[in-house]
Amino acid sequence: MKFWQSVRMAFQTLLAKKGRTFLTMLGTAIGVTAVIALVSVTKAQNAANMDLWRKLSENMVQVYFYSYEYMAGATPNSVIARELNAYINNDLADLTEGITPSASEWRASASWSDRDMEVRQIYYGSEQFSYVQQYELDSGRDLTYMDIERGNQVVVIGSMVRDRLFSYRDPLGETVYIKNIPFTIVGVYRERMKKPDYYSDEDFLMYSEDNMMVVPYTASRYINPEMTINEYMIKVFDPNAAREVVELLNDFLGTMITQMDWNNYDGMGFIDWNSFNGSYNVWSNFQWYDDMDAAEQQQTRFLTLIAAISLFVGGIGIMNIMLVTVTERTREIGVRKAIGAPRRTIVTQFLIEAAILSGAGGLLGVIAGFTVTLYWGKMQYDLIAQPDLPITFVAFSGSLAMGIIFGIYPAIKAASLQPVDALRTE
Amino acid sequence: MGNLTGALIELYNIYKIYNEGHESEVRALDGVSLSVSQGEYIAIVGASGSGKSTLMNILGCLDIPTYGDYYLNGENVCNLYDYELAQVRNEQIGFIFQGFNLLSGLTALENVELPLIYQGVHGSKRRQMAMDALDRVGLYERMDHKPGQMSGGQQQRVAIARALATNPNIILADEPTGNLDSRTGEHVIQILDALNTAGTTIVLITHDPAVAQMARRNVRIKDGRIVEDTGLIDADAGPRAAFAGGNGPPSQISTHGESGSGQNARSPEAGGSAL
Repeated sequence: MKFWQSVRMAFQTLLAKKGRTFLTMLGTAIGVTAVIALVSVTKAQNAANMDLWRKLSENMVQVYFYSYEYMAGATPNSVIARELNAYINNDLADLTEGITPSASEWRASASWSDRDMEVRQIYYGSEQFSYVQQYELDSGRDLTYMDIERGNQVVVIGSMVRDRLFSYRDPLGETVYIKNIPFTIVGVYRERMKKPDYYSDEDFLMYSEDNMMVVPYTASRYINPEMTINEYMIKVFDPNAAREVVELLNDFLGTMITQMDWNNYDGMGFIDWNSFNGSYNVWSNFQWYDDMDAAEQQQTRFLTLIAAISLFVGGIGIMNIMLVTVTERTREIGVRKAIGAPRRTIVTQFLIEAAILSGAGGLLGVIAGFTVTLYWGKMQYDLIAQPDLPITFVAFSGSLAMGIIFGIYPAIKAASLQPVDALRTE
Repeated sequence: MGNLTGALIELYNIYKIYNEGHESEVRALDGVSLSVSQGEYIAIVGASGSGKSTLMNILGCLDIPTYGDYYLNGENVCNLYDYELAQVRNEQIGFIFQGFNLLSGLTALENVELPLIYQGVHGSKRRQMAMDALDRVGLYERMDHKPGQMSGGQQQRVAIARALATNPNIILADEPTGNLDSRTGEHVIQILDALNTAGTTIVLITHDPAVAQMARRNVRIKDGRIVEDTGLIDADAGPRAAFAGGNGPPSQISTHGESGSGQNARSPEAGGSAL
C-alpha cells in the first residue's frame, strides 16, 4: 500500500520535528481561533441586541403630540385623548392590542408602614398598560376601565417592589404611599427579568424592569400635578400591520387636530383647550428596520473583512514555516529519491503532512474558538454565544487550503528535480 | 542498440553537457563508455572537476546523461519513467554519499528502514532486515540514535547499512571516506571490501591512492573522459577496448576548462595525471 507508506512517512517526519510541527499548528490554531471567536461573539451580540430590541419595539406604534405653546401642561386636551383611545379600541380593535400613555416618573420613592424604597419607574398607564408593556399578572387584578374613568388611587406593583418593600409578603389590599399619596395595591406583576451575574443586588435595583409600579394615568394629578401626557404607545397584533396603523392614525388625527395657523400666531402662549394648538407625529419602528438591516449588513461585511485579514495573516504564517524549511526539505527529497522513492509517493507524503499540520492546527483552532466564544460571550455579555458555523467552516477550510497549497507546492517542485539537483541544494 | 556484452553496467558514449551551445558550455562527461561486470570492484579516480562525480551520479540514476545510453542489467535506463527509475534506484543500487545524507530527524534504524519502506516491505520483516544491515556494519547497539548523536564514521556506516539493506546488486560510493579520518575510513573500506567478497559489485570514487589500491580495477577520468582503465582483463570487454582509447565522436575543445589542474590539453593521450 503506497498510500499507507506515505501516511507513515508523514507521521514519522512530523514526530521527528516536534518543534516545527508544534509551531506550525500553533500559528494555524491562533488564526482560526481568533476568527471564530471574533465573528461568533459579535454576531451573537448583534442578534441578542436585535432580538431584545425587536421584542420590545417591533409591534409598537407611537403617537406624540407636541404643542406650540411654551407652557407647562401643554397637553392634548381630554377630548383628543378620549377620541384617540376610543378610535384605537373600537375602529382599530382588529389591528391593535391596546394603548397606554407613555408617561412615567423615574426614581420615585414609595413607602409602606415604616419602610420605603426607591422605585425605578412609576408608569401612568391605561387599563391596557400590561398588554402594551408586556407585563403579566402574578396575583390580584390589573387596572380596569373604571379605575381610569374615576382616577382611582390604585396601583399594580412589579415583583421587585413586592420582594423589597413587603419582603415577599402578600401586598394585596395594602396601602402604599407614593410621594405621600396613598394608593391601594390591587395586583402584582410577574417577574420578567432575571438578575445577570455581573450586577450586584443594589445596582440591579435601578436596572430591573420589575422595580416598577403602574397607576391610572387619570390619577397622575395626585402625584404630579404638572405631569403632561403627550405620548402614547399603541401595540399592534402583527408587526406587519404597524404600517397600516400608522397611516390610519395619521388620517384620523389629521381630521381631529387643527393645524397651527402660523400667520395668526401671536407668539404668546395661549392654550385653546377645545382645539389643541399643536401638531402630532405618528411613527413605528418598522421605519428603522431598514436602517438597522443596512447597519447589520455593514457590520457583517466589516467582520468578514476582519476574518479574511486574520485568515490571511494566519496563512502567511503557515506559508512562512512551510517555505522556510524548503531547503532542508529539498535535500530530504533528494535523499528519498536517491534511495528509491517515486515522485508520487513523496508528493503524497508532503500532502498528508501539510494536511495533518494545518488540519490539526485548524481543529485545535476550532476547539479553542468554540471555547473562547462560549466563555467570552458568557463573561462579557452574559449571553450564550453560539459558535458561528459558516465562519467556522470558512476558517477551517481556509487554513487547511493555505497549509496544503504552501506545503505541497515546494514539494512538487523539489520532487520533479533530478535527485542530484535536489541533493545539491545547500 | 542493445546490450552487447551481458555485463551488469554498460555505458555507451555518455555525454553530460551543461549550457550546451552557449559560451559557458561545460562538458562534464565527454563521451564516456564503460562496462562493469557483476562482482567487480572499481575505483574511479581523477582530479576534482574531472567529471567522476557526474559519472557516478549517472551510474546511480541520480542524473540523466545529455546523450548516450546506459544499460543496467540489460535495460536502457535512459528510457525509463520517473517511477521506474525510482524502482531501479531502490532495488538495484545502493548509494553511499560523501556527506552521508541521512535524515536528521530519524533514528539510525528508521533511516535504514527507508528504502525498505519504499520497496513495500512490511512490519517486523522490515525491522529485522534493517537491524541485520546495521548489524553488518557493527552498529546494532546504536540503532535508536539519531545522526546528530553519532560520529562521522558511525553515520557513514549507517549510510552503508541503508545502502545494503535492500541487498542491491551494486553499491556506488562517492568518496565514502572523504569526510572521515583515516582510521574510521579504513573501517568503512573494510566493510566495502567484505561486501565485494560476498559478491556485490562496488564502484567507488576516491582521491585516496590507498583506497584506490583496494579496488581490483581503477578507472582514471580527466576532463570528462576515461584516460586510463586498469581492468581491461575481461574477454568480453569489446566496447571498452573500442572506446577507452578516445575513438568517440570528435572531441570539441571546451571553452571552459573545468579541470582542476588547469591544463589545456584535452587529448585522451595525455593520461596519467598526478593523483
